[in-house]
Amino acid sequence: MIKTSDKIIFPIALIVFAAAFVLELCCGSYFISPLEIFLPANEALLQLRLQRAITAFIVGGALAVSGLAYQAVLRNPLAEPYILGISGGAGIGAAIAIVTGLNSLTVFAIPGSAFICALIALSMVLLFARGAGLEYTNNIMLSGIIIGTVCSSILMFIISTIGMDSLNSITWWLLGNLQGADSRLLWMTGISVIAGTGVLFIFGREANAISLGEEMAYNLGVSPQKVIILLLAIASLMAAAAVSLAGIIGFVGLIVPHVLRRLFGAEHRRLFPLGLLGGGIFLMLCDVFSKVIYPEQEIQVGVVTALIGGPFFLWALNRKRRSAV
Amino acid sequence: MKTILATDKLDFGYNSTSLLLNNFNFGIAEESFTALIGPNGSGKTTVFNLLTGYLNPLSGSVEFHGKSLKQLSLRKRASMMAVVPQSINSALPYTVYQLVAMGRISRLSRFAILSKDDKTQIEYAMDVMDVTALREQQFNCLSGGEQQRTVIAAALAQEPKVLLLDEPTSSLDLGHGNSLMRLLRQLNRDKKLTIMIISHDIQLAAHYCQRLTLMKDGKIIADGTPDTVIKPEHIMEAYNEPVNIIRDDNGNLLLSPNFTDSK
Repeated sequence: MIKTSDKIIFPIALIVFAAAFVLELCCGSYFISPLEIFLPANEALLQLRLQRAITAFIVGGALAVSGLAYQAVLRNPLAEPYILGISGGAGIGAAIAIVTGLNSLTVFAIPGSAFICALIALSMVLLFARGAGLEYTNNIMLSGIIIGTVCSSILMFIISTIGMDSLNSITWWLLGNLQGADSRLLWMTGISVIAGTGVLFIFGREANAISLGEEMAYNLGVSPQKVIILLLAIASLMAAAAVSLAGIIGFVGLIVPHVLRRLFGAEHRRLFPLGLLGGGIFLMLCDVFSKVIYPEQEIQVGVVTALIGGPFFLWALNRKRRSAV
Repeated sequence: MKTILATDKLDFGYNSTSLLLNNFNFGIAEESFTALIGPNGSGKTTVFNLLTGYLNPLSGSVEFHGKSLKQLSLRKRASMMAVVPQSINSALPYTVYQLVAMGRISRLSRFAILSKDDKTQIEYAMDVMDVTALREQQFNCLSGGEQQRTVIAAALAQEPKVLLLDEPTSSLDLGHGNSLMRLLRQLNRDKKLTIMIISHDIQLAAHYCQRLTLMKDGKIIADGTPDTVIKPEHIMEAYNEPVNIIRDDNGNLLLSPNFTDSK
């Protein structure tokens, strides 16, 4: 852990963010230097890349902050934003919008449908989870896994009955896509994610307390039920908004919180804002990687995060197991 | 002495047909040091959790300074009464300082940062519990004794009037258990802190506490000074185990159980 005050960490994080942002603007199917990208001749390209960079930042930030909140509430560093069935629900929503042709009527069809179905899946998870204390948090995770699996099966069923065009659209969406987000939707999601992070920051001390267990939180003067519901609701809305905007991008909510905690400790008033910056930076860098590794045929960013995240997840799991022995 | 925390005609059970506590009355006096003792399943932890408000009674009430505990907000309650559970398990890597600072949550508004006074209280609590040198260490990498001291430091940072501890010496060795009890007695005497513990170590409790309350099957079977409670007939009734009670040269009560194969 780095022993540094917030006065140093946040300016450094902002500088790294600025560097990653400029890099994201410069990289694409071809590279443009930072000096040239802002020239009037490149305005159209700049607009496209700017939108993509902002999307990457918002989605990455939302997933990382959401992961931090889930891990605190569920008291499990291996929890991630999709553990409560959000990705499965959103996948069905997107598939429905594509199969029914709603996506050709409005740009809001896929995000809207994905968002609603993600919330339905989440509601079912919370409805089925029962118990108190550790039993409750374990039941939430178990219900999430079951609902997520059921959703995946439904999605597979939909996929197996549709034509090639729809199949391509669904697959493209499922692998995560930062391109072409509607600017109105981007604004709405951006504001929601920043506001959500702000609320989580305000409840950062409560998140610290709840991560020690319901009884300890109660002893410290924190209402466990209220805080658990509030944190889960905000984290889930942020994750659902991110999924609606860019599809299912895995592992960001797992990797970034782990790295941040290793570097800066577990204090959530510090971690939530850093999560927004760190998650955004990470996804922008992954996006840069996805653009430059194979310029002729761009790789979806979800593939890149999963390729990094898979081994990381196994490492984290192994580390946790060893520390438990 | 005035009663600071008391139960009034308390009924408690996980269903109304089989009550664990029936018309249970118990109180602790201001600035006292009390130990709740008794065999496993006697209802000590239930009483403890009712006193902290973590469990709700079926009927009756718990009163703090004559006011129903339910009328106090959680924050207000935590700023007057600190509770140390038997153990806490942190999955996330908090430092000792961060964990002790959590003791200030009930005294801070959501938008506030730690004031000079808050920091002074945190430093004081760490100093009293001798964990200042561990301030940057990860809580979940500490030994059981160090973790226990850290959690008590967080409780002291709450600046409570009453400190309740659930089996504080259960995970500690002889030396650490003894020194913790010595420290608690010091806090009780010097800082006028009202303390109640649950303990399975009757000798330790008898030596350090002013009052012992012996429970069995949800009832108090003996209550008073250690001399009046630690009697062979009380111990036999509570634990169904014959014991010899001896006094050493310093006047300390020592319990000698029957170590033969048959009772």
